[in-house]
Amino acid sequence: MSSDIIMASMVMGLTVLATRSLGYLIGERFKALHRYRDVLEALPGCAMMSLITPALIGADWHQVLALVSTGLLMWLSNSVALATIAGLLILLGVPIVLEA
Amino acid sequence: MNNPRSLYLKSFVAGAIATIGFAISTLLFGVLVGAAAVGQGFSVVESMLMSATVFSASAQFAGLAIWQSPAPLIALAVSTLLISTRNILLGLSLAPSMPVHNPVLKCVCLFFITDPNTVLTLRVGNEFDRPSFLIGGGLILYMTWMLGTVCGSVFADLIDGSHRSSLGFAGPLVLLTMMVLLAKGANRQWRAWLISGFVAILLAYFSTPYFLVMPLSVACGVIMCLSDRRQAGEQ
Repeated sequence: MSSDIIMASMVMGLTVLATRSLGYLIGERFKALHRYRDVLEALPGCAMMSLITPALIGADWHQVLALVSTGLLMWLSNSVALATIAGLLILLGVPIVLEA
Repeated sequence: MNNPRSLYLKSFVAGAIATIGFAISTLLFGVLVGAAAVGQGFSVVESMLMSATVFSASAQFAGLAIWQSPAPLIALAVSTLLISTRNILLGLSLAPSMPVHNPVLKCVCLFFITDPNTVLTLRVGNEFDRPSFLIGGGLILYMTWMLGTVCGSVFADLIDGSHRSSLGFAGPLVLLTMMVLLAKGANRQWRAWLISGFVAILLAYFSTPYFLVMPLSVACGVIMCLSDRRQAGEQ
């Protein structure tokens, strides 16, 4: 096994763990932040929206269709599995159909 | 349910069951990361080692994109840090509702803070022990992640380039399912979420550097949230 890959895995693993720990430890240490619990609980949604919406720039129509279908199915069925599988089928299936 | 052990077990099982839906996408990302690692010259065992220690699709994709030998350790650390900044927000949001006093248990919980696991843990009521719920879900995601990495590494040649690029869009799909779960939960912050999304798309449109898009758009969302809170307080 390459020592390069071992070192790189350790560095990346520790960095990810540091980011996972940092927010929790700050929230745990500074109890005053707990008064802003509703604001803190809005953070994951804000972070996710900041990742989802830029993906729309430059997306193909079938990718947008997959996104809309996934969102709608998720809203109606509440099933992550169903919504994800449907979205993936559109993502992979439409280009294959168009190529054929 | 007065016995704490049965509460822990019940919460652990509930967490594991709740994440099964997300396990599909986790498996898929594992396959893609495994295939990408083999494409960069990793062996199956080496790609498994990276997935086992890092356990983050976005960080590993970014790391593999800049991979060379000898490994650029500082560049890898910086790119991983920038990609993983949202974990800070996830941890921050979990802290008030999930106190953990045992240091070992705390380390395990921190390792398992991922997007789907955090969203699901934030949604559960007080009838569950949140750390056990998080660990139950985290273990399922971790196992499927490792299984996906092995499959992707072993069968890398079967995934052709066009499918890999199509599957790259699977990330936003999975995030959207989590977003819908949040939107159907008790603490809905529509205005903050919409503002964040709007600012992010605007910044991306004007080619703002990636590492600035998330902090700036989240900051705008937080300002909106604080303003809503202030208005509610005044009324």
